[in-house]
Amino acid sequence: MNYSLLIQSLNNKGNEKCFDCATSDPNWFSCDLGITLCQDCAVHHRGYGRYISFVRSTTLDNWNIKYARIAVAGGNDKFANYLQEQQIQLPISYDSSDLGSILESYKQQLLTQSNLPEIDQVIEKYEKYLRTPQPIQKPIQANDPNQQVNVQKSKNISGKVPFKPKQQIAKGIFQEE
Amino acid sequence: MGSSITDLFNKLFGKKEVRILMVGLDAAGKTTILYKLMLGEVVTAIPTIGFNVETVEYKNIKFTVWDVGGQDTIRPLWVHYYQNTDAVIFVVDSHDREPDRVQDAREELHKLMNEDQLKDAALLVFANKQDLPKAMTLSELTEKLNLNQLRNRDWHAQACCAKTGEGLYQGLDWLSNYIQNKGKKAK
Repeated sequence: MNYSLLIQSLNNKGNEKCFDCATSDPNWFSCDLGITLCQDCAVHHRGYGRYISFVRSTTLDNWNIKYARIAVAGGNDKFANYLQEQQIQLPISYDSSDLGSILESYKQQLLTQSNLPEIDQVIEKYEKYLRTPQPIQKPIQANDPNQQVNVQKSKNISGKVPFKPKQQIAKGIFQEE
Repeated sequence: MGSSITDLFNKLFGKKEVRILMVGLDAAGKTTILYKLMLGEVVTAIPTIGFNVETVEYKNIKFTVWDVGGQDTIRPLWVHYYQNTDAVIFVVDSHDREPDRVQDAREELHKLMNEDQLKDAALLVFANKQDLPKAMTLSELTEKLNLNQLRNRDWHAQACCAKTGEGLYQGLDWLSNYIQNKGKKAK
């Protein structure tokens, strides 16, 4: 499952820009903090260690439903608001020990919210609009079993409807709401 | 005739050349290990989309290390690097205890070990990121990766920390011993 369009399409959440440096079209995602990141900032997150921020590429990694739920529950604006409530100035240093418990409680909060039934509804709704799998950025090996598995897996969201630009997808979701 | 004398000379006095394939899940520390060995420095590694290849000389052996990206969708590309591999270095993030990630690592490792092209390759497992709190110990990781189930395989697991360099040369020591002994056995 590739949910990169999901994250980008939820752009009323501030996800269209990297949380740390505001670069546009970020294609990395912190799967526990629920924020989008550009590659340069994702590199730093990788360095903090898995339990501070677990980053996945929205184009190079397979996604599971758990990350998609966090994407729907979270968002850059939401995290920024939370930090503001806690009176923490941006930019934050993720690996500072003072921040540890504050980040941890946000992650827990997000995890709980991500399991609420309304999240499923958003994801279902979204899947209706996402009919085209991401363009594959590497040569396909015809006799590669892994590749075939990936193609099969994404079949449920791939169909014959032509590609819609992300703006349209976003509209589609939120018009219905 | 001329070439066989050169071969003999190289065998006696030349440097051995060894081809190493270094793989593992994303963000395990493969590129950091490679450049720590090569430059002695900690680099800020960007996710490897493709590969890095560098030559590291140690104990009169030239290790050509191919470091191939570990992101989910690029793992199928590992297969293109199997040919003529003398040893596989499999890097694991010991800090990552999430069951799905450990399972991923175990499955990738065993899939690799079942590859026909790698049946003669030695296996060195680097249990990286030992500096981080609650990192899995070597014995814990050996068990979780089912290393003891490997048959007909020369393998060794080494705890390490790519940031400080701890353990990296011990790993290479094992590899170079293995390669020297393999040469003796062949004679």
